[in-house]
Amino acid sequence: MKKFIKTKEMSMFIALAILCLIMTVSTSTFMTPYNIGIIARQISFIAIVAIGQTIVLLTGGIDLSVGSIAGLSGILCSLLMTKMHVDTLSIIFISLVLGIILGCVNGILIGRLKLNAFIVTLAMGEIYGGLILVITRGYPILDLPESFAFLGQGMIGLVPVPVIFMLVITVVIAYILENTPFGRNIYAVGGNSVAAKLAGIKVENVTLYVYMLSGMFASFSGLLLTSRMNAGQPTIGSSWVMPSVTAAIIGGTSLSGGEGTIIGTIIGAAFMGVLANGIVLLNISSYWERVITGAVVIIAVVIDLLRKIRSQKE
Amino acid sequence: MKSSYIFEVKNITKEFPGVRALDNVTLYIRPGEIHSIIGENGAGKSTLMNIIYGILQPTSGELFFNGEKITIDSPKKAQKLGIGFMPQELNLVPQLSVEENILLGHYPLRRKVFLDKKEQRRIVSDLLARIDPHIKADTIVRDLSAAHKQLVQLARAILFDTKILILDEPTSSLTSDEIEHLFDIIESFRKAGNSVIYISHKLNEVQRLSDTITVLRDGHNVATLDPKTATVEDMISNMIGRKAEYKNEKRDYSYKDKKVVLSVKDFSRKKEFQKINFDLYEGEILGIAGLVGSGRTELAKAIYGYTVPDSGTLLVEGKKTINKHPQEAIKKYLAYVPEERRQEGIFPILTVTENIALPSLNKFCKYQIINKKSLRKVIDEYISKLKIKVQSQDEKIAHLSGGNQQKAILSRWLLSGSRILILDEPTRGIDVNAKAEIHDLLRTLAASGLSIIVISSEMEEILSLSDRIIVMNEGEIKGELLASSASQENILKLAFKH
Repeated sequence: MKKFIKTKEMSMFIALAILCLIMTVSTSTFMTPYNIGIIARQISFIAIVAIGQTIVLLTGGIDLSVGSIAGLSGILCSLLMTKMHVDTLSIIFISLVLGIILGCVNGILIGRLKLNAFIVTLAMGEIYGGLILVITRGYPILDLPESFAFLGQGMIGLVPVPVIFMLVITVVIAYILENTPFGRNIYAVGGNSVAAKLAGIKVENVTLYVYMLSGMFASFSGLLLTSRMNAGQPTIGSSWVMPSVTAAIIGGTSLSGGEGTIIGTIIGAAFMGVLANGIVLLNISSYWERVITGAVVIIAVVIDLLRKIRSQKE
Repeated sequence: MKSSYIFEVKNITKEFPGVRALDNVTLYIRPGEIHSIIGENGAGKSTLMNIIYGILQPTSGELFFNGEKITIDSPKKAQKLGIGFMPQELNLVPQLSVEENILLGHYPLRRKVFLDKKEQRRIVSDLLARIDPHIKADTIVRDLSAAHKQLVQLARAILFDTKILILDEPTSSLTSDEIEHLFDIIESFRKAGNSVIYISHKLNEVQRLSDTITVLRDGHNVATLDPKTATVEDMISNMIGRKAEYKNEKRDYSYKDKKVVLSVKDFSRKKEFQKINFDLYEGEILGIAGLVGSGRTELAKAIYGYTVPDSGTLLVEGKKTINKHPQEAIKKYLAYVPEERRQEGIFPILTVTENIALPSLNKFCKYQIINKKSLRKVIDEYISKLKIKVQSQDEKIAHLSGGNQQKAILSRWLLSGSRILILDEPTRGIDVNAKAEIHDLLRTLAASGLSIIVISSEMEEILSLSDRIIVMNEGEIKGELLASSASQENILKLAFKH
């Protein structure tokens, strides 16, 4: 805990708290259970994708196919449910496996064949995205089973179900990254891949696994959003790629690898969610949202740079 | 007053934090002469060339060009004066053509904006005609042979009206035919009245080519020799000086009754090393001496499985094997500590604890979950046992001094239980105290039964640590010595052998 106070996660958390404070003071509608519930549900979809993205970024890679994986998974699962009447529990399992398979293709191309991560995931994203249109011809898939709606729309007590998924995944992945050899190897590969190989780490395997995980979380999040929208929309996930990277960066993850935490990413996603919500509540034109988010990223990166310069001087 | 020298270096001293790389060095270059500079690794040759070419600034001292005092504050200034430099490590852009590489940064222009392609072609064909008519101006550099790449670099160095050409180890990657061709070019360059500063470890070439030889040792110039009278032996004895011969307490070492733990048989890897055979005995420190570029690092990496040899076998504790990945080597209790500590050894942004524990994390795991408490306890033991100076276990390793980083890396392999350590330049860039501590540690480890291979370009380190020494040059083992019969002189003779 003592460590946490000095970290960049903490400074982002303070920034988030200040933002919430400003919102609470300037509007009467922000700090209500209803509004907080809306924000939490909204960020949970993107946060789950961003967790996978963070794991990839930690190894020094990037996954630009998360949006298309989410969309393709949403569509395929919708088809399975409407045409073959697969039940909700099985569909969760199927979507996870599907995501792992789609991510596995990225992982093999990047890890084994040593292709550039940016290009591979960009191209695979195009392929998966194109397949969505081939399958759906642009029409949504409707008439999903009623019981399925619980995943994205349900509440347990006061808490929306997707938020619970987000919290569970956050805790589990944060624990794995911090306390298992697999987690520490991810940081090692991103910190110095040559040294990692010389220390006996199979870099190509670690690379494979992180893209599989990223695919899995993207796919699962796509399923949750499908449930939330009550339809297999062809556009699901298409706007998730950059926000998933942005949330990680705001939360302190380094694009060059080896640095960053899941907690930071969740804070980053929350910051973006509160910002988007605030823009609506303050009656600012929603066109400003992207301008402000972009500025926040620049400010976060500059603050981080200043902190690094200061720590070098010490 | 016109000087009879084209270039003079007078009393140049260069200090880096903690070291004096050059101390009062003086050098006179005549027009139309080939002036060789020789010395051991670290004698100050590169520093001196970097000062002449304007990459480094001297702490004190003066430079004269044609008798006129000058300062050279950038490579651009050096080029303007007519100084060309061909570095040992080529810096060509592989994706660009020969022509573009030669003219890089100095494209002739029309109306100050547009590339003058005709003029470009004219300049480059003139140059290539002088150097090697077989090289075509529009070939992409990536597709050239190593020798032709080098000639392109040479063409770039003499692009300007070059009067002084600096060549740093130009023949290290050339075949004998290619070397002859290069010598012809150098000779015709000289005949035109220009001067060459020639740096090389190949003393036979130096003797054949030079008009004057300057010997550097530990940043001093110790001798100026005339190649007509000086022999290769003279050069070597000047390079190592009349320093007190190294005392080695291991005079009565014998491996006769010892167990072989590692045996390298017929190891070859194209362009790196050929037909390497040697044994490592239990509890022994085996030194591998040789010049930079003699294939020692490449050999170590192939034994360790970072690369895979083209042919040959490895016997670890009598078992025939070949390592295809470092992980396999580590399982057989091998360890490799790389020469490039920052690039290949440490994880700079991770903590000291993680840097030490990474390969051994599984030992501290139950159901794949790390027991951090017991890990921290063990790391603390290593920190105090090896006297690693840290504020806490969670300090980033990048904040540590080189010596402490190296101790952490040694801890890494002791923790993982390694029985055979391969150390590549273990004390490079490490201060005197930490160096002595690391040497003591290695002796203690060997005495406790670990087997250690030390690759070092530092003669004193090799001589004071090793029980036995093998000497490599040009990818081959040139000889083997027992520490009791080894001296700087006979090691260097082997290292320069062809």
